[in-house]
Amino acid sequence: MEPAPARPDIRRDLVAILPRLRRFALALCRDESRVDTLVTRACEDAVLKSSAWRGDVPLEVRLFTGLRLLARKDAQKRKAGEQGTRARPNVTHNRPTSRLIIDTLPNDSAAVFLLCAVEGLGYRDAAAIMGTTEDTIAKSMFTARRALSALATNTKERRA
Amino acid sequence: MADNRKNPESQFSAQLDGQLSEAESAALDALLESDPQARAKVEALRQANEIGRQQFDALLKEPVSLDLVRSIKTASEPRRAVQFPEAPRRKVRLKPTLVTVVASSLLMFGLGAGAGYMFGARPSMMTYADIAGDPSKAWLDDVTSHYRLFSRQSRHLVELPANESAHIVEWLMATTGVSFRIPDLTEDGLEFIGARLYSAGGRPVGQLVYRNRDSEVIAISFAKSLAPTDTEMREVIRDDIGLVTWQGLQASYVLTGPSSDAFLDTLAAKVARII
Repeated sequence: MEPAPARPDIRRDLVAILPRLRRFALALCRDESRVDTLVTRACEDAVLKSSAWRGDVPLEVRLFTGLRLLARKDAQKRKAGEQGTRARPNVTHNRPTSRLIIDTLPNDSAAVFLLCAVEGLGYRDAAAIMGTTEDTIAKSMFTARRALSALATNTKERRA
Repeated sequence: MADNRKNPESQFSAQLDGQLSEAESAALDALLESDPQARAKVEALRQANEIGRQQFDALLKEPVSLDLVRSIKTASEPRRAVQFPEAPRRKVRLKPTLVTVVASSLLMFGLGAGAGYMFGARPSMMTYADIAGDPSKAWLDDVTSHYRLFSRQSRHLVELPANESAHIVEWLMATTGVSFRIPDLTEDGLEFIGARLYSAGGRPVGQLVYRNRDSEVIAISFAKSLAPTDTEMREVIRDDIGLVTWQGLQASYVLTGPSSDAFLDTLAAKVARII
């Protein structure tokens, strides 16, 4: 029997893309306290299933999809737990400028903008990651850019 | 996606992402040339796009927690089930005769009595090996504590600076008994700072010290082998320190650096080829 070809250690590649994974997780859940938990679970899942991974899908695309699924499950659980309790506090005050973008962009458009405009993925890949259609991705991109444009205009007016 | 592209702004948004065909792009450019109002809106979108990218890029600079890095580097890999082809087994039916049973009983009794005598006669004495513990563990413990102490030094990081390379080689070879070369790792973004000598696991250890672009210390330690057993490269994490150990023909080597460095093992493989 021929020995199986040596497979590179996926854990090392995961550590190398950790900042990008954390950024995507933050865009999805908008809650800094949840980011590391989500990323850890997604990475552990990827390591466990690494023997089944053939490299046909780039690692980050695979992880982004896993993060989106985990974030959705996590949000559903938290929503069920929070029903009947107090409303979430408004966390937009005193945020660093870099975090403002996460609060400014509505719904999933922060994550979609990150995938297409920053990570450079096409609408098809982004739609596969977000579990939606290319049409919805196009709408989200337009919504995101309009929201960012409004943010820039407001900032200029306030400075003036 | 045609229904999304009713106005020039949404069309331009798709154009920015490279989602328009050549014909659609040309038509949009022609429209923008003739309509200054649409052009202004589109320009605002372009600027918004740039602002968004800059703000997301800034998020990448946030530090990643060491616990997160460690939990991923030490995540357990799946066990691979390897099934070897099996030859068909011949079924052997066991039918012991009285002579076989008596003979095997006597043999088992003899073995049991012998083992009992040997263990009973052995005095309960603690040997030097029991006290000393695992020598390879002791050596790694010393290398780790040495790295923890010296990697925080700024002015006293090395005993001999990099410009005395010839003397470093001569001095460490004579002291440790290991012949080596100083690896040039500038391609990997590492600058050779110098060398020092210390003791680990009761042996003299030579250490070559490098700094990476983030001013973190990466060190190569080597000592004459005690018992060359495991030649495989192994990565160990001790708190915030990552160690990659391997065994050469005449020496034991350890590459030490911050555990958050994802490429310590690649670097170690390169060093093992050069040194």
